[in-house]
Amino acid sequence: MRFPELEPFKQRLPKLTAEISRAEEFVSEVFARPGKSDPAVHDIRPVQLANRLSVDEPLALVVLKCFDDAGIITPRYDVICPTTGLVISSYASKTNLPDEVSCPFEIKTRHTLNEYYVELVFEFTSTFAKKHRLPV
Amino acid sequence: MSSVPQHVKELMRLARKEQDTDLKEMMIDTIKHYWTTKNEITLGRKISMSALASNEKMARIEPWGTELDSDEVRHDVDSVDDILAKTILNDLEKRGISIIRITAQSPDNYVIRAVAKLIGPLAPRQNDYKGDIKMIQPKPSGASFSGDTLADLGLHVDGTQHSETPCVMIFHYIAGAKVGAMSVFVDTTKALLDIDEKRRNELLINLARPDAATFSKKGMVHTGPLIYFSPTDSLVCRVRFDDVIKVNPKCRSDFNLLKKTFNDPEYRLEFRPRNGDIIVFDNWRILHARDEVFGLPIRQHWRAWITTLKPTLLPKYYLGIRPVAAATAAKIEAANKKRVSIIKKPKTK
Repeated sequence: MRFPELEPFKQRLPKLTAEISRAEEFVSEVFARPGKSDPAVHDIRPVQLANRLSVDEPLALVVLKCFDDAGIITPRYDVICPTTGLVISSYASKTNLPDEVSCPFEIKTRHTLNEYYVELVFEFTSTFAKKHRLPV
Repeated sequence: MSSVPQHVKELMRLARKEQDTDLKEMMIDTIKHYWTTKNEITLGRKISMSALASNEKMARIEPWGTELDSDEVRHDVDSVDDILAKTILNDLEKRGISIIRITAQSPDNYVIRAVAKLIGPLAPRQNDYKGDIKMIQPKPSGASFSGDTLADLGLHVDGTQHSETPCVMIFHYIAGAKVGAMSVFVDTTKALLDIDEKRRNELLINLARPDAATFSKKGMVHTGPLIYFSPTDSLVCRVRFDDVIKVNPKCRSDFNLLKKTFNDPEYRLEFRPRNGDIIVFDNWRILHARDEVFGLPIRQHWRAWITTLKPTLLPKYYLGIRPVAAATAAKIEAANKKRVSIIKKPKTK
C-alpha cells in the first residue's frame, strides 16, 4: 500500500525518499496484520523500523515523524514497570506522564518518574484506521 | 537536576555521527520533539524481548541433539482441532519440531491449510512461486539448492532471499522415497549452547552485522545479518551452507565455526517421513536438509510457509533461538542497526 499523504514529504526531503518508500512497505505490513484482541500487533517501534531499513534509530525516528505529520500514525508513551517489564499505562503525550504511578503488578508498590521506563511507540491514528478499515 | 537520560544520550550520539549536516539537524530536532521533556524522566527503550530469558526453563525450551527420537515429537491424531493446535504449539516452543499423523486422512492440500490455520497466516509466495502451498517433487531437472533437485540438499532455513524468513514451515508428505531422501533436522539452539559462552556471544554479535551475507537464488537477492531480531522480537538464525550464500569476509571465521558445528552428526535428527506425515517446525531455530533421492522415485510433499504466529498466540508461545543474555541481545540488536555501506558490484555483460 502506498500513502498519498506522504508525497509532499518525499518532495520536501529528497534525501529520504528511498527510506520513506521502504518505510511505507513496513508500515503497510503492520497495518495489514490481522488482530482485534491484541491492539499491540499494530504498534510500530522505531527500533523495528531501524532494523528493517538498516539505519540508526534517529533516522528511523525522522522517517516516522513524516508519517506522524501526515496524520497516519501518532506517538504513544508506554510507562513500563522497571521490575517486571510490563506496561503499566499509556499516554498520548509526554507531558501527561505521571510523577508517580501505582504498579498493578507489584503489591503496594509505586514507581516514581525517576524509576519507571518509558517506551515510545507509534499507533495508527483513528482517522487513518477508519478511512482504511483497520483489519480485525 | 539529574543527568540526561541514557537513551536520549545514545540517540543524540548516533545523530551527531551523521555526516550530512541537514540530516543531522533533522535527527536532533526529531529526538527533541519526541523525547525531551521539561521533567527529568528515566527514558529506557524496553523492546519487548519476551522470548529472551536468562535460562532454559524461563525460555520454555528443551534444546536437543541426536538423542531426540522422532517418536518423542510424533503424534497420532484423529482430527485437526484445538487439542492438536496445543500439541503442535507446545512442541514448537520446546523442541522446535512436531510430527503429526492424522488417521485415515488423504494428503490433500486442504489438510495443510487446516493445520496452518491453527498456527498463523500463510505466506502468499515462496521464492519465485506465487501461491501459499507449493507442491515439491524432486526431479533430475530440478533447480539446484532447492527442494526440486534430486541431489543432496544441505542444511538451510527457508526463505533466505526474502526480507523476512517464515517463522514456521509445514511439510505434508504425499509420497516418500524408498531409498535415500532422509530428512535431517538440526536444533541451532543446542549446537550454539555447546559453544563456549564467550566465543558464542562474539559469534552471534559479529554475525548480526547487516552486511553479514548475501543470498542469491531464483532472481532474488537479499543482503542482511545471519542473526537478527524478528519484528516480533524473536532471535532468528538465517543461514544456509550452499552456493546461494556469499559470506562477508569479516564473518568468514564465525560462519565456518557455525558450519562445522551445525554439520556435526551429534546434532542431527534423521528419519524418512512416511506418507501422510505432517512435519511442522520453527524455521527461525531449526535447520533442515535432505539426502540425495535415488532410483525412480516419486517423492512428493506439500510445503507451506507461515509468516508469523496468530496475534492471539504471539504473547503465549516463544519461537526462535533462546535463551540469550540481555547484554548480548542488546549488542545483537545494536549490530543489526549498524550502518554499513553495501557496495554492489556493477553487472557485467
